[in-house]
Amino acid sequence: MPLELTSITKRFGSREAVSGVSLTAGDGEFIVLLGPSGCGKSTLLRMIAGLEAPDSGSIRLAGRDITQVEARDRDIAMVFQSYALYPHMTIAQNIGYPLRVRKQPAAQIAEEVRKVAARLGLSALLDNRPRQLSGGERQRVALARAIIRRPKAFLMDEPLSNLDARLRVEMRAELKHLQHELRTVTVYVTHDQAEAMTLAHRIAVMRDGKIQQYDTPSCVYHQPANTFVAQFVGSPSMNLVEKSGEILGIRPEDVELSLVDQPGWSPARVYVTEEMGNETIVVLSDGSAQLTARAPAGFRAESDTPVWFRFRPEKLHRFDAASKIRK
Amino acid sequence: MNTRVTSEKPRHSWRRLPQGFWWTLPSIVVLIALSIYPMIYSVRLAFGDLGNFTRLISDRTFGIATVQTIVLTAVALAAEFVLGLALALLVDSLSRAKSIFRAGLLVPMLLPPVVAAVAWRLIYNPQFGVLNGTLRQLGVNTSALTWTNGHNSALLSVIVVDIWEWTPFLFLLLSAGLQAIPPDPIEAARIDGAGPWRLFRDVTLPLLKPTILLALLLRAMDLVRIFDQIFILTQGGPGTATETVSLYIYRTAFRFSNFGYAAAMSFVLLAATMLFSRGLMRVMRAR
Repeated sequence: MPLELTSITKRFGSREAVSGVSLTAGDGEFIVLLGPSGCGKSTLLRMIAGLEAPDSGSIRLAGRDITQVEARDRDIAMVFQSYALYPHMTIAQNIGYPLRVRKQPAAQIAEEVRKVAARLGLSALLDNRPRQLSGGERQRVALARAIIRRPKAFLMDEPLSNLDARLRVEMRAELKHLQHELRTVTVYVTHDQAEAMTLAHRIAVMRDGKIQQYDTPSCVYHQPANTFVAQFVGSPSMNLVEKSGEILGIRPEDVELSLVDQPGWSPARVYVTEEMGNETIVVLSDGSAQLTARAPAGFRAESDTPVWFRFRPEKLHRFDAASKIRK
Repeated sequence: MNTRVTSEKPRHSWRRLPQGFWWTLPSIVVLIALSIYPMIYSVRLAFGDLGNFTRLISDRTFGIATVQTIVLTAVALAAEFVLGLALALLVDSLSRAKSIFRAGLLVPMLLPPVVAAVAWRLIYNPQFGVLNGTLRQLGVNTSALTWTNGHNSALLSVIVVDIWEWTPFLFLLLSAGLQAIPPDPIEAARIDGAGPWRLFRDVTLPLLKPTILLALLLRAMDLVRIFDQIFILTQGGPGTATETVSLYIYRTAFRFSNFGYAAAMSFVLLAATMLFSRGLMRVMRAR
């Protein structure tokens, strides 16, 4: 396995930021660490990078134990949330820096910089300084600096979260294609479940320093390992209803709605509707609990309109009430 | 309507002064009496007789004082900068107890300069000073080590005191500068493959440059005007061994009562300091 983490633990004071995490990534695999802030995903990434040392456990990359290896000798590239460009260097110098540190000949560096810059559409900006660039351009410079030396692994720490929504979606596609071309194992940290779903070959959902589920986006979505994963992945999140000693989960798109009474359906009232254009999110209330349903774009109902609903039985998720684990 | 117009019409011209004038008047009076008037007076003193300036060119003591001021400024500034930067990097690299070291290192700067100078005069005393006393205990023959009394060692002794007292100032500024450097570019460089030396040369030093220039500028402006330590330690002696421009100005004015000539020298010193600062600031902006 190109990247192999075994029982990684990291404490800050008495708090365990990462506890006993094991994870492997295959050749050219795109792994996303997904979780809320403070779940330990960034700490885990920084340990792979060599910026933090784990208290216990081991990290292997391409068959070599790198747990005790200095960051500079790991042959890993990282893209930071803040881009972390060198403000006093030109864009060309920024992109070429990893090669310059490795004492490659200047002519060869210039050629590599030219190629990578062309690949990422930065050719016209090479003589500028980072502060003269827009957020999206800086992001591409950070990517260029990461890919120029063809490292054994890419690490990305929320690289898109400082971009505006449109650019983020654009860069997301760009990133996915780039990774497909380079076929380099990539570990990507985010708290955005949409990014995780679209980018990852496999998602590791984390909470309180532990991996909750490590699986393909489809499995994480359709067979969540516990109620935390069920609610964290998917938007709007899964409805959970406690019923006779177990927790039932149903995704909003699996709640059927009707404006007329049908045999076996339950009554409720419309609490509020949110028109999204391509669909309508309907929040129902049966007096005690609320339920979110996804309706087609044409669905219209005023608040307090009586409606009837049912759960698609084959789409129902069952979790243990005590352990919250999928049954 | 009519009455309002009359009431708004100023009866006396001083009523037109902004209201704040009266509140600031005491400080304006103090400023004029203690700063502006002496300034104008010294301009008249210096430029009233242009012979003051032609005399400067042939004044051997002024020449010696100028050279010694430059040597003292250059040596002390270089030593204070290198030491201050080294200490700042060292303390910055500590994982704990940073603030204790930071506070401890600032102590010399917190002493009043006069107190520090008096303490060093006692330390340097060839007969019963702690410096020679310690050396004697280590078996060193100290009969030739006269420190501030020796013609060759006096300037160096003064420089050592300045380094002791003002390295903390550079340490403080450079420490603050180091702390203000964002951690991300440094971490990026570590991952990009930079070792400790390249990290320092390629990232830390360029990002610290504005702070370095500011620190050097502030310290150099002070060093050029150095007075109190020398006045207490050596009074410019022995002979002219530690004579500096400001000390010579002081003696010309208050020992020899030649105020015109002293004022002329002050203006030369002022002009030199301003030119030097302008030069350094141009380097700063050229960045």
